[in-house]
Amino acid sequence: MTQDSSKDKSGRRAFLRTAGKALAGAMGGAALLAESGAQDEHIAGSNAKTSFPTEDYDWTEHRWAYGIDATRCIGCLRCVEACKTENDVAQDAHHFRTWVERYVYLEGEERARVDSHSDPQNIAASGSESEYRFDNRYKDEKVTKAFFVPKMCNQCQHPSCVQVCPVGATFRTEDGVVLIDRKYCIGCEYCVQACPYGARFFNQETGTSDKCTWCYHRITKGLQPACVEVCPVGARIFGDRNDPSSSINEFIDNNRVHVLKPETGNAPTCFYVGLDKEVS
Amino acid sequence: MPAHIVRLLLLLGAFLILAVAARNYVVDPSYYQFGDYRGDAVIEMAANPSPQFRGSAYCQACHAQRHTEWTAGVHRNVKCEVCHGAAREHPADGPLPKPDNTIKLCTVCHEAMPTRPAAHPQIVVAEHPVPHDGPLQCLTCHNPHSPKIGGQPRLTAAQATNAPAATETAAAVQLSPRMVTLTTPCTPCHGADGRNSAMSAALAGGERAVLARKLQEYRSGTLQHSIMSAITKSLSDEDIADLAEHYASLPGGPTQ
Repeated sequence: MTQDSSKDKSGRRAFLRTAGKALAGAMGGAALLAESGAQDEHIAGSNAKTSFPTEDYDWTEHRWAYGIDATRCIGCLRCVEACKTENDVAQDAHHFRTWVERYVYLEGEERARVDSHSDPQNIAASGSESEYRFDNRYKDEKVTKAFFVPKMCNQCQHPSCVQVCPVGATFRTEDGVVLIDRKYCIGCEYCVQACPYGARFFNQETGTSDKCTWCYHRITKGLQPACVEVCPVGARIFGDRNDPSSSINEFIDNNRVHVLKPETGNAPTCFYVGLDKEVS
Repeated sequence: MPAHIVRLLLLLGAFLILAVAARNYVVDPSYYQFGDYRGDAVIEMAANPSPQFRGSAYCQACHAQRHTEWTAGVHRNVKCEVCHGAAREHPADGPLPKPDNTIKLCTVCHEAMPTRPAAHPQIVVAEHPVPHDGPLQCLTCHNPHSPKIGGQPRLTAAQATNAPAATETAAAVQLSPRMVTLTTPCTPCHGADGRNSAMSAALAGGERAVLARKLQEYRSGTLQHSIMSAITKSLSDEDIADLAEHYASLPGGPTQ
C-alpha cells in the first residue's frame, strides 16, 4: 500500500516535471504563434484604412457577373483575339481563355456538328494560328439550325477547381472572380481536370494553370473585360450585380437566362441566353 | 520518468518549436488574410498587366473628328480597337497599323454564313458588287466608319486632323451636307470633280437629263451594273435630280 502510494507520488512528481517542461515548450511555441498573429493583425490593420486590392477599388462593394447572348454572336472571334492580346496568352490556336463554338444542325441529322477556332479547317481559313476565323464550310449545305456559343470560365460560386487545389493557389475573390496565384501554383493540373467546363488549360510558359480572370486588372480599374470591349454585336455583357442599373442586371432581369451544366452545383455566374439542348 | 522518454519529449518539443518557426518563415504573411490563399495575389492580379485595350474614349481625345464620323454611322457599336487593334501605349508607341486587307477584315463579320443571325448584315462575297479591276477592296465604296452606302462621308486624314467640324469641311468644297452624303458613293470611282480618267466618260459637264435618265435606269434595273445597281437602289427621284444637277454643273473637260 505504502509502496503503491510512494510510487504514486514519484509518478505525480515526474508528471508535474514533464508537464512543466511541456508548458514551457508550448509557451515558446505560443510566443512564436503570437508573433505571427501580430503580423496578421498588422496586415488587417493596414487594410482597414484603405480599400482592397487597390486604393480606388474595394472588392466588397462589387459582385460581378457575365452575360452571353448567343442569339447575337456572329462568330467573328474578335473576343478570342482580344483576350490573347490583353492577357498575353500564347499565340497559337490551342491555348485560349475564351473561345466560341459553332453548332450546326444539318437537315436529317439528329446531333449538332460542333467546331471552334482551333479546328484545322478554321486555322486553314484564317491562314495563321494567331488570327482566327470560322471557315464557311456549311454555305452549300442544307442547314436547319445553326448558332455560335461563346464560352469561357464561368466564375462559379462553388468552383470545383478551388476545391481540388492542393496548395491554395486558386481561390474566389470577394467580388466573385476565381483567380490563380501563379506564385503558389505548382502546375499539377488537378484544377484543369476538375473544371466541368474545360475552361482551364496548362500554360507552358509560366508552368502554371491558366484561365479567364474576367480581366481582373481591367475591372478593378473600372474598365470592361477585353472581350466585352471588342464585341461588335453586344453578345457579351458584363457588370456589377450590386448596381441596380447595370447592364448585367438588365440582361438577367429581361431575359430567361440559363447557366451551363447546372446539375454540377457549381453555380456559375456566367448567364446565357439562346442555348440549345446540346450546349453544355 | 525514464530518461529515454524525457529525451523523446524534449525532441518533440524542439521539433514543434522548429516547425512553428519554419511555417512562420515559409508561409506568406498574407496567406490566411482572407482565406486559404495569398491575399497579396489579388493585389498582384489587379495591378498586372496594364490594360492593352484602352477604349474608344481614349481614341476620341485626339481623333475627335473621326469619333464624330464613327458615332453617326451604323458601326457605332464596333469600337475603334476592333479593327485597328489594341491601342496599348499609342501614340507613344507609334501609329497603329491601318487594316490593309479590308476584304479579309470585313468578311470576318460580314461574310454570309448560315450560323450568323439573319438580321446581321452579310454578303455573299462572290456575288457582292465590286469594281471591275484593281484591288477589290471594300473601302472603294464603303466608309469603314459609317459603312452604309449614303451614310457619313469619309473624312480624309487631313480633314480628320485639322477640320474643326464636318459641316465646315463640306462648306470648303462648296457642297451642302446633303450633297456630301449623296456624292459619297460616287466619289471613289468618279472623283470628287466627276472627271476620273479611269472611267469611260466624265460625269462632269454632262447633260443633266442624260445623267438623270442613266441613274433612273440603273435604279429600275433597265441598266445593269454590279456597283451602280446597288448604289442607286436607295435613291429617291429627288436624289437623282440633285445628283444630275450637281454633276452637270461641274466644269467638264479632260482630267487635270
